[in-house]
Amino acid sequence: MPDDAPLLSVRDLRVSFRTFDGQADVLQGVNLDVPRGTRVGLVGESGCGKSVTMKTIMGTLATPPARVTHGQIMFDGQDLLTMPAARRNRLKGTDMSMVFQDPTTSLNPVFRVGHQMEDIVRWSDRRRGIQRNHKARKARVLEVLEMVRLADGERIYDAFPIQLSGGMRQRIIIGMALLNEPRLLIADEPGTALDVTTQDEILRLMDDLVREEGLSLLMITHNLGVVRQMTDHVYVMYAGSVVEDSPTAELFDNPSHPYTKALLACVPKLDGTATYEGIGGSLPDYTDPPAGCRFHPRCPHATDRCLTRPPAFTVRPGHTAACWLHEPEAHA
Amino acid sequence: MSGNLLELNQLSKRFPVRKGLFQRVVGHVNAVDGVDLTIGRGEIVGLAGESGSGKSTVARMIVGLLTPTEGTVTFDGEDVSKQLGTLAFKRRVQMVFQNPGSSLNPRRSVADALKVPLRVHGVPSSTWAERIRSLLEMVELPATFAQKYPHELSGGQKQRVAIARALAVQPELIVLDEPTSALDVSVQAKVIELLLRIRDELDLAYLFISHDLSLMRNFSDRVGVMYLGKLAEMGTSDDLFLRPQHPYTQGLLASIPVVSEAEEALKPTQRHLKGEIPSPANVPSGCRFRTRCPHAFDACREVAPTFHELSATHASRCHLHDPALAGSAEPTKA
Repeated sequence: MPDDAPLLSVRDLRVSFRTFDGQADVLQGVNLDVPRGTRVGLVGESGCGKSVTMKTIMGTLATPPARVTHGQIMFDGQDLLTMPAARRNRLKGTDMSMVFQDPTTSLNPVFRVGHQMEDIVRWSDRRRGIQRNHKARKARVLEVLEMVRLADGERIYDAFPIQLSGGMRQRIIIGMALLNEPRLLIADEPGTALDVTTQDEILRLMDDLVREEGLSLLMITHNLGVVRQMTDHVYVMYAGSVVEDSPTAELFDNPSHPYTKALLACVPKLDGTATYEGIGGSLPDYTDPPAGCRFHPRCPHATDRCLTRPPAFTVRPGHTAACWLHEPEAHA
Repeated sequence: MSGNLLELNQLSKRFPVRKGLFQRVVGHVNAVDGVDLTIGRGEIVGLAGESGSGKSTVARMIVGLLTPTEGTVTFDGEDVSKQLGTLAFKRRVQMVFQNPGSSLNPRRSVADALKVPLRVHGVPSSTWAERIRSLLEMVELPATFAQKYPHELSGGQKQRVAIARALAVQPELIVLDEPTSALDVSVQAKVIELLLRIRDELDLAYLFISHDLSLMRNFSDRVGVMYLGKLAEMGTSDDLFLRPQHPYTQGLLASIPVVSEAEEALKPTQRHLKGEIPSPANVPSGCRFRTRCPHAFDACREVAPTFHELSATHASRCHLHDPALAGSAEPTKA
């Protein structure tokens, strides 16, 4: 396997859900790459399918009602979707781990922090066939607490979650994800539940850790400002497919898909130049999605072309937009 | 000062801390500590700050959900401190809450939800149907929505119903507590546009509570920044966002994630705020911000700073604006 192949590569991933209203085709062929040592963002509004994508990658999607109907998820050269369940479980939480959004609900309130962290070490040791005693496990936990810049690790080891602030709890969640020295970190809206100042500190910490430990990061968020600050490459999702993907700086300088443009226009700006146009209409019903481009009923540029689904056209090297406006002939 | 619709004068709220078998009072938490604030007719005043700064407590006192411990509230030139929770006052001041999913009763249709304030405030029932129709029109929802239930509505539509319910009694002031933080940005933009249009049409005043500073910049005429129950800085949107003076405001602005280089240039370059807001049960001596302030010097530990008027519209509570104190001290370098 060549080392320049992406660590994670999702190809034409399609996921459907069986619902009372019929089959909901939620993911409609998602393509996504996380190259080694890079920070990648997946951004979109509620209901766009970013969490389903993340859960499918992590293998935590409930099946049924969901069903992966097509596609590949290559992690370090192996397809996660076809490998035996036992092997996939070994990868989950060790080579790839997850940072959850809400620090209040992802820690168990009745166990001490150190106890919960040690549990993770014990279980993954067992899966990997390693034997470590309590002292060695505790040493690893204290080491990780120091990594996430929590001074006074001994005290935090013995603390209950309720005795810690939101920012400290979020650091512990990050620490838990780092316990097994993962290569890929998947972060779901980290810090969104916190104040801006604390969120800022958490994002800086994650950024430092990703660099120091040479991790690859896939960050899922609805906040365009966070994506701009934290990632090298961005995927914008709308209604179950990636509508635009681009190097981060390029996306913000030169947004190309009408949805990305409209979304950026909605974000309140610090210079006071907000427009309140919003985006008319609402997200389509996944059991009866519009034909062709799923954004066309809300798009100001829609034409008859849009009834056919557009492929991802290259706008510039490394920057694609799934919109007929960017079809090469159209510009000629 | 009689031109102001609402005036808060040294408004404070102290919560007792109880402990033990007999629930004895062992201390107090000063959630709000002497806040002065005015809102003019048709004006949008924002309150910003981290969780625990007391901004929601101020809002709850104004609408009568909490009783102030000290201080007075003047509404339209009249002292209403004693009538905050009364029906007559509630007709003039309404509130829209953060999460429309939990502020609407799932078993009541939209029309039923809108009838509640009409009935409580004694509006003749013969006019209800007409009022409900015009309220829905006001918040840009089709008249057929009257028969729908909350689960049939999207988040943005629910929040429109909550706004219509607040408008039902024709208030003069609406307290908006994080009205759009549960919504996506594309929906938020539409709701904010609606709120601005209603303000212009009805000459309403808003007290807008939010932690989203970029939104506050665009939506509010004047903004107050709260820290541990006290106002740290108060000014027009331009004062605060173009010329922030208090180190806390500067720190807050520096930590906002933004989407363009132009905005990046507007952020103060100061060092990032360290640590978290202390517990209001254990407020630091002197300036309550000094434990996180990059400029803190000796006087900050001993003397609580007062408001320094920087211009007719702009004031900041910091010793750095006091030439006698700031001149003598070298900012400590960490």
